[in-house]
Amino acid sequence: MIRPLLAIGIGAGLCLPGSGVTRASHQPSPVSLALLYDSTMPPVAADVRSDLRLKLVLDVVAQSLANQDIVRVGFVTGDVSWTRTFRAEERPTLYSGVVSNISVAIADRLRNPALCDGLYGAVDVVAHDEARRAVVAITAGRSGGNIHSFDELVAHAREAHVSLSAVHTPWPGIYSGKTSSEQYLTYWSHFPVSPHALLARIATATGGTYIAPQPHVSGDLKRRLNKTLAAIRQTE
Amino acid sequence: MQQPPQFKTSIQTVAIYATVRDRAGYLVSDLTKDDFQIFENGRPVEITTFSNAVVPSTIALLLDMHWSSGIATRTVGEEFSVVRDSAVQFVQTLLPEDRVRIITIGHGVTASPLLTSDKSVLRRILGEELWPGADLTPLWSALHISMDSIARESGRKVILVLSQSPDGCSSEKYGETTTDFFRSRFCQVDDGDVVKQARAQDFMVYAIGTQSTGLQSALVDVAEDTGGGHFHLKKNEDLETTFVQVADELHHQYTIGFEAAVPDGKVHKLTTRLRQNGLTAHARQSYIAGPR
Repeated sequence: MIRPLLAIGIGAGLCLPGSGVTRASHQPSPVSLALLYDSTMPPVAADVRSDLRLKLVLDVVAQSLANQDIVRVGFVTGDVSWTRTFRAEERPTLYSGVVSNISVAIADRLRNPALCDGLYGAVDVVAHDEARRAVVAITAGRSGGNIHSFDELVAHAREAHVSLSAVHTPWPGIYSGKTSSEQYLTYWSHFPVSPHALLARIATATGGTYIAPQPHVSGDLKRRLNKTLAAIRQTE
Repeated sequence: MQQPPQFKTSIQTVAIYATVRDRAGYLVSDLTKDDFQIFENGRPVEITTFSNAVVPSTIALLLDMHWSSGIATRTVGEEFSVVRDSAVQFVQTLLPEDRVRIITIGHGVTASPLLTSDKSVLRRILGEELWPGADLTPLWSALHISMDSIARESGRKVILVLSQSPDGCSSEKYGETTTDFFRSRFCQVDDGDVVKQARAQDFMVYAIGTQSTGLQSALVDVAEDTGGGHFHLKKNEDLETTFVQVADELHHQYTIGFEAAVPDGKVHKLTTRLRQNGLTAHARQSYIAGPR
């Protein structure tokens, strides 16, 4: 059963860039965030330290942390590697703290990620925290080599009162990247299942957020991640 | 029902799974031990184990998800559905005791951690975990990974591969460029390694090739050598029918055993013959004796 969700506006401690800070009627409860990063997305041949997308994502997340918020970062390939817990006061060093202590074998990255199992594990990571529990996946939406089904994942997340959100990152290629959203959607409309349909489904079913990508819009990933994090904070 | 034979590992009993067809191509499954002759390096051997009971299989179902426009003239999305639906139909026709692991070639190679006879689980995997292929096809590496994934299982081990694109390690001749990363990750295994592994670990390899790409000759050779089969889909032929044909063949094979020769670690040639005219037997053509 999903907890009742109450929009309360943006809390006093929120530091989301581009958003005005407003005074809420009460102090929002902290957020326990599990950020799951799909390490099978390009560039797969490079170390995580040279992944500019990861840098952008962690910078946005760091800026969003407030008060008693905590975040853990997981890197999913066939398995998931999780970082330690980072607290809001570690904002300035979140990126360096993550990349200096994580190792994702390059040999494991040329495959579809076990996204469903990764999200299932992410639910477990935050399940017992006394906070608003949320999982955000940065992913291309493909998933393979899972033990759990998506139905099992949704049930698990709902039981643990964890919302699943997805920031969809299309790959460059014929169905993404340089193409427009319309071309992307047209390509996938011929398939019985698509990444965006899958991600939207789990987000909708768990009270999370999914915002469709607009590959031709500059800064789209940052904008959507900010919106996703803001949406998590606005729910109680 | 006759019980399938058990092969002990203390004495190397060589297992042969033979498919017999009549002149019309129909499967024949009521022959007796005396109908068969097995030759090792040209010399007849005594058949010590024989059964025509249905034997469960452990199957690695390897699906190349690259699009070759090989299955008639469909869109990529329609091709995708054909592959998925055909694989589902294959799963449906399996015995309750058959076990399957699904492996995909798409973005690299992805193997399911589940080796299962639960058809609902297999259908779920086929519904949720097939994605169109990107990059090059690591065919031989994928076959190697597939064999590794069921190598320790006992009984009949089968690799069923749907091949829709040529191996990327030799992709220059197909007008594509093999990246150093791809080469370092996937080109350490070639067709010769796959043949050796299939012989050493007693695999049967079945290969289905789509129309435009067909099957690489080396893959045909592997299928022939291991006693499996190979199918080239022609226009308007049905992938689903071919998958079901493979399942049907697996369920109508004879299990024949004989004691291995001196364990010299060498490749021994095998020939399976029938005493009756008008029937043909298809079975493995070699094995490795003893230390491997």
